[in-house]
Amino acid sequence: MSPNLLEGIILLAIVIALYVYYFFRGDRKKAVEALKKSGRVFFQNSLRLFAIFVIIGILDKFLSPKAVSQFLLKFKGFKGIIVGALTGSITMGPAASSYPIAQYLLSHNAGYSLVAAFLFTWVAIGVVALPLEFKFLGKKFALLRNSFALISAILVAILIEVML
Amino acid sequence: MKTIIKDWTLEIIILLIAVVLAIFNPSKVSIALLFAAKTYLNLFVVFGAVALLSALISVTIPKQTIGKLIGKQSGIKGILIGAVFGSLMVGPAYIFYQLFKELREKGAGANIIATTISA
Repeated sequence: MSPNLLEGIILLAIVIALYVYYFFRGDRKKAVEALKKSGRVFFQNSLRLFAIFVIIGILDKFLSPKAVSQFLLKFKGFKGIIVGALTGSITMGPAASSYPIAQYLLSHNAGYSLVAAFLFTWVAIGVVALPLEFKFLGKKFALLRNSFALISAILVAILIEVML
Repeated sequence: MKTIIKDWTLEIIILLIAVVLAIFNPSKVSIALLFAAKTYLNLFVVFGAVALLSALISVTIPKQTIGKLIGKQSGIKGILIGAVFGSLMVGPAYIFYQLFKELREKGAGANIIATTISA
C-alpha cells in the first residue's frame, strides 16, 4: 500500500470521527448539510485534479528526458540559468523524475547553475497548475508566490555557481 | 451554459489537447491517462477526507473562531499552528487548496496559509 493511501485512510478516519461526534453532540441538521456540501466539492475537485494529472502525464510522455536535456544543453551562463528555470516551470511532476534529467545534464557538462535552477522550479513552480492555484487561492497570492519562487530559484542557482 | 464554460475553461483545454494528441500518438496518450488514473486512485482517499473536512469547517465553525485562531492578528501562535498542520499534511499541496480556500473565506491570514503550504 502506498504511503499516501495509508495516511489518507488515517486522515479520513479522524474526519469521520469528527462527523460522528458532531452528529450526536452538535447540530444534526448542520452535519447533514456539511455532508451534502462535501459530496459536491469532492466531485468538482476530482474532475479538476484528474485533468491536471492528465496534463502532467502527457507532458511526462511527450517531453522525453532526452529531448528536454538536449534542448537545455544548448544554453550556458546566465542565459542557462534563465532557460533552466523557465523549463523547470513548464515541466512538472514528482521530484524524483527530475533527477535522471539532471544527472544526464551534469554528465554532459551543463552548468551547475542551470541544473540547480531547473530542479528548483521543477518542484516549486507549475505553470500548468497555475489556473488551479488562481481559482483556489486567489490571483494575487498565486502570482506573488510564483514570482518569489522564480526569483529564489535564480538566486540559488547563482549561489551554487559561486560555491562549486 | 456560459458560466459552465467559464468555470471549466482549463479542463476543456486539457481535454482538447489530449484528444488532438491522441489522434497522432494514441499509445503515448493512453499511457498518460493510465498515469493520471493511478495518481488519482492513490490520492482518492485524501481527496475525500479533505472535502469532508472543509465542508464540516465551513458549516460548523463560526468566522470569529477561525479569525481568532489563525487570523491575520493571531501572530506567532497562528503561524505555529499553520507550520504544525503543514508538516502533518500528506501528499502534494494542491489537494488541500479546497481547505485553504474555505479557511481564507472564513478569515484566516494569508501569512499563515503560506506557512502551511511550505511546511
